[in-house]
Amino acid sequence: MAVRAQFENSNEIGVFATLTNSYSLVSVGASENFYSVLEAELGDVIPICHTTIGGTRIIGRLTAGNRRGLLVPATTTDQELQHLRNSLPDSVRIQRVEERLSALGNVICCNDYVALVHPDIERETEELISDVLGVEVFRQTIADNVLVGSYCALSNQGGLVHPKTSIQDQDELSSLLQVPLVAGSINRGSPVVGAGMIVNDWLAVAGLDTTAPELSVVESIFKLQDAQQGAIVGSMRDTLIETYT
Amino acid sequence: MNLYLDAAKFISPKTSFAKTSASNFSDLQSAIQKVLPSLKSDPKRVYALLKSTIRYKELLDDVLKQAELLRYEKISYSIAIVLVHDFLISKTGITAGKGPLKDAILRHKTRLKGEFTKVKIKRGIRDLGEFNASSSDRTIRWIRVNKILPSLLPESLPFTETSEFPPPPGTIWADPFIPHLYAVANSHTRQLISTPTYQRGELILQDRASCFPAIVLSPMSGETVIDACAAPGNKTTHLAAMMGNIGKVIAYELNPDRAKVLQRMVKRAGASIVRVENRDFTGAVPAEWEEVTKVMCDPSCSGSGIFRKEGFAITVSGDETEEQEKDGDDTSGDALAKRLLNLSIFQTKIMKHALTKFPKATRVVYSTCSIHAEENEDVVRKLLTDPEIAKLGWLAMGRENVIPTWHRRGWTERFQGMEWSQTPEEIAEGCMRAEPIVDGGIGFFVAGFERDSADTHKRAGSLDDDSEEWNGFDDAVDSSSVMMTAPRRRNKKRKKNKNSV
Repeated sequence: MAVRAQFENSNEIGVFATLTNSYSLVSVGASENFYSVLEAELGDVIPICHTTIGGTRIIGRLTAGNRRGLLVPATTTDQELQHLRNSLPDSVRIQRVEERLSALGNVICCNDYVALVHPDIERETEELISDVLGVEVFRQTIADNVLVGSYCALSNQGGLVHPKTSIQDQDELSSLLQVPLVAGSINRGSPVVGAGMIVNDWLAVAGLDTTAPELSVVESIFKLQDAQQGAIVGSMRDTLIETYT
Repeated sequence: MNLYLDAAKFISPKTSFAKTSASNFSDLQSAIQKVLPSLKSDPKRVYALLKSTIRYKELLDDVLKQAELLRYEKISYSIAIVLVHDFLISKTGITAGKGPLKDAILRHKTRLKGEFTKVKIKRGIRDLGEFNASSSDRTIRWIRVNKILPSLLPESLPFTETSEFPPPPGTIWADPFIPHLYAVANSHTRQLISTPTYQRGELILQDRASCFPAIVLSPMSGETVIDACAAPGNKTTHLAAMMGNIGKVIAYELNPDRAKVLQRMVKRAGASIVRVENRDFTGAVPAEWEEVTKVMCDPSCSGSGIFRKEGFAITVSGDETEEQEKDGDDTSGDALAKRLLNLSIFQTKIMKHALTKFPKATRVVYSTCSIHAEENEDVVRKLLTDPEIAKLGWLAMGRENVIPTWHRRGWTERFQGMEWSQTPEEIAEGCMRAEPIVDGGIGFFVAGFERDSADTHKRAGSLDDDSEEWNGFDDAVDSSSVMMTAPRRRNKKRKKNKNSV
């Protein structure tokens, strides 16, 4: 399912959290509201880890990970690394990456099988991504933006890309990623979809500003609605839209 | 690692295959044979590796370029491409122990794999097996349905009709110029040869170029026609088919071996009206010389319009079904000029025989599979201006009877400055040319010679459009009374003109 949430009055929740199919990271904040939302949805299923990366709260932009592993930038302190190792399942490989482009969340966008990366990423990093996350790696841009992690939200079911991605690019990306893609926005028109939401195979959390149509696009492309909700989107759509207006 | 080092020797270090061309695997084999003692690994494996590398060269080159492998690693292109081939395409991967070269490739394994996937997507290749058929082989194979035999072709072939040219694999394209001629993708050749319809002779593999002469000649049922240089017999059987297997076709072939091939082809095609004569056309006048009305002449030529279709030459070289009169490959300036001169002398001689020895002949078609004007326009010019031939009233056929819809015609400049009743443009327009490959097949040249059967006064009505050129004929022929005339033939001629336009 898809829910809306805010992280301390910010709608860019993808900046402050990372969500994968086997764990979730949430940055340490003054209030626990956001953590509570996640815990309500995920609490029994996957571990949620409170952490900072290199002393900052923007962990969503600094880390990249999937079911198999987690990549953290060179700025991560030993204590933080140790804390992550203690909190995450043993099956998750955690790797510190010496990469000039240290905001790994901005330059890497991945699911459990493929990763799109910034075209200028170092070769060693590329190999690390492939090793640790067990994915095929493609250097790509999204709508001419090199920050693929910021402009793409990806799960194993589908992907949401920058609203100005051309149909041709979408087709190319979708054949690379082997999942359906849709161009769309989040947080009432923001093109930064990667930073505006977090998503895994059964949950998406978007900023509180996200409109209902945006959320319904998210639900359908990431296949988050169950059968009944699907029927609502389909047959009762007209009624609902009337209600919204 | 020796395998790769050995294989790399056959690939030039620059980013192109200079030493081995992508289409010539037999060259590669002999190149390997030559250096056999110096090879440290199994030559069969070297050959297999190189063959596959050449096949996927386009893809691998793209991958190497995109991955910028050679910028990061100090290794040569030739070793890189064979290693990358095995890494990406071979099922076993790189079959070598640890070493600096293998490490150099493996350092980039993620990038190489990623770029390989991208290249495949860009070219729309789902499965590597289909790569060869789809992109590198867009050549076509022409097939003619032999109408002498009853057959269900082409409907019985497992292809769908297409309007796209060249036809993609799995489709068939009907030629607009020649009835019963179809094109399919060259990759189907093997499949076609193995069908029973081919074995029975219902299907004949014949390039479009070698179908044109018979169409231009357009023989009618019951005529007596000569094919002067007949083997391997595709054109001969085409003639017989056009005549509905009624009449007489006399096929000359000097070479006894080729005459046997001709005989076999004729038999297989069921062309019972064809009589094979294994002797020199120029030295022979057949018993029925007075009845001969049409002569087709396709003498040996340099074959410069022929390009080898890779694969085909190897698979069916024992059973040559395609007109391939290529003798020798010397293309160096002087040698070529000399050879062309010799060939053109021979061609002129044989054509002169065809034009002068048959009193009732009204149409003679000359064709070559050459692109050199020396063998084509120049021969036509020599023949037209030959006083002995001009005296008999021969003219170059106008475009209206020589497949007027075909776009590429003869070269006008070769006919400039002729003292002749037809303008250079008229003569050139009446000739057909084709460029190899560009025009969908081998290169060729066709020209027709025509004369009315002497009684010039009855001609009005049947040849309205030609009245200008035929005026010239009056002047030329007044003095000569060689022509034999029969009213029966006049009627036929009129009918024919109507049909062939």
